Amino acid sequence: MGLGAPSSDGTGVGHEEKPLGDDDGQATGPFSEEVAGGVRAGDPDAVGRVYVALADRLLGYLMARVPDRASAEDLLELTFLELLQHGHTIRGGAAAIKVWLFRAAHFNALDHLRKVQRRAEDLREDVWALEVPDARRGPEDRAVADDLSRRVRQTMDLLSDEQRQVLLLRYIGGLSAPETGRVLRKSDGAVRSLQHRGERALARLLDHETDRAAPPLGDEAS
Amino acid sequence: MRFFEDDRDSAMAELLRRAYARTVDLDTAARHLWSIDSAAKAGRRSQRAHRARRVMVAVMASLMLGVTSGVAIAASSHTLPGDALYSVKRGAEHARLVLAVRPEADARVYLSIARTRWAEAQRAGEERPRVVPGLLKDTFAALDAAEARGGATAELALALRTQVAASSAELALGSNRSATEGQASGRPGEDGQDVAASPLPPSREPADDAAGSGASDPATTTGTADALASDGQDHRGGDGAPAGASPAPAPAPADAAAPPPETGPAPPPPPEREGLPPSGHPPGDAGPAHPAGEPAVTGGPEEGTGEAELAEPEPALSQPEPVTLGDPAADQASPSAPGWGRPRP
Repeated sequence: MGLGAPSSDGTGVGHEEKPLGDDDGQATGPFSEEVAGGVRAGDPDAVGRVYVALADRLLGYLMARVPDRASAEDLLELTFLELLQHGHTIRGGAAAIKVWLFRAAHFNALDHLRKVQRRAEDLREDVWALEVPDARRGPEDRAVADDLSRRVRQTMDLLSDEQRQVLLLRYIGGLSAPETGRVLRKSDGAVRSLQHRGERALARLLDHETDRAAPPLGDEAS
Repeated sequence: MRFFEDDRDSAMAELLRRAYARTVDLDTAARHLWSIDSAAKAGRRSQRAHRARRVMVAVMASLMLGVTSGVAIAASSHTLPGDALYSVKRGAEHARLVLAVRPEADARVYLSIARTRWAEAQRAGEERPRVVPGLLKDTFAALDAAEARGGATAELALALRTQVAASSAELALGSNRSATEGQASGRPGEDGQDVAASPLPPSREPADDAAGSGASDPATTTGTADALASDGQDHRGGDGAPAGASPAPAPAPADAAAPPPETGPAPPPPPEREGLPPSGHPPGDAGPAHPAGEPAVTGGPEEGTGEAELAEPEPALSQPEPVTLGDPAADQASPSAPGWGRPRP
């Protein structure tokens, strides 16, 4: 269900009706400049509005980094509390706040992973598939247990950390390439390069998997 | 493949969205929003408590160091900056500030502090002229604080201010004169030597001292020097407002040392200004104006140099100051703080 008015495909936030990957990461932030001013003034209502606008995307990003929903939700809360406390240090408008949030989420996720220190094999485990589909959640949450989605996640794990982070920020976070660069401290060129390589690798590995999964034609000779 | 204007691939977007996109439960969202709201309220409340807490820290620290016996306090009453027990004297003043809760009582303490600084300045004019500008500065600062609280005390403070302004001209001229005498005659007189011997012009040197005596008492060797010497006022606070504080002492000492009839510098008003520190940086990433001493609650990645165009977020909700009694951060950060009686899912 998510926040705001439920949209047709259940992508949560009210005003974002189009599927992710739209231009909402670009010039106009998902919330107004007035709200941005409130955030810089430390106004909790303004922070709340930013939450409504961005929590879904941030949660998706956090869950992709820290594949345990409860922890991701805690990190989400922590990130917004940090915004409340330190919002006055942000220079810029709504877009700057969005970048700040993703950067904070990025570091919170890293910190969490360090603390938890799971073994590499555990990290690969598809915790997502264990999630009980919840009626309160949108339909895409149920899709998470899809076979295909599971394979997507497994394949993503095979990419390098940086490629994966870029793809997550661009596609799940909805950030533009320059914004992604600011979150990860990379140049525009580096971001695009990581993105394209990641996309190609992902596509290649998925196709490869698909080919292997399907029964090979011509195998059943009489 | 279809592309968006910004080169994201729509097929891939769909795949990734299905694999990762999430929505926040209404329950969770409500809980988070409530937590944000309650943290904001706690933040506002704790700002008022901040000043008292900070001064309390100074007192507690000196107590722990065992220097605030009554005898020590009594013995310190006639000390000047540079004496061993001077820090005890300032610490005792802090204690009085912390106990003065009502503004009138507060104002009276500030006035008495101003008088003390003025008396010290007059005595030091003879014995230790180098500390005079710093003391004058502190005098005016305390007068500002006393006047800011209004009431009858403000009038007394104003009267003292006039007197100080008039007399301090002589004081400063006195120290300047001995400097020029020392330079002109080349005579290694006591005061003349002190001032003339320095490579910097006399008006500069006291500036260093003023900053020195303002920010930390030279005689104090304890780590509480910053807290003790800050006079209960945070404009030189060493723990969290460097961006605001650092411009203030720099022009101010120059003002104090330059013709003093320009009634001393007016440092920013009472400590409520402290508020939220301008810190915001991931650990290891130096933010625009952040002291290196701030502890990061969680050790995070070292991300290289800070940048100026964007203030960095801190990954942990660490406390606003390094030394704090109680735990204001706990109030702010706890999502299960009482008040609503909501069960936590």
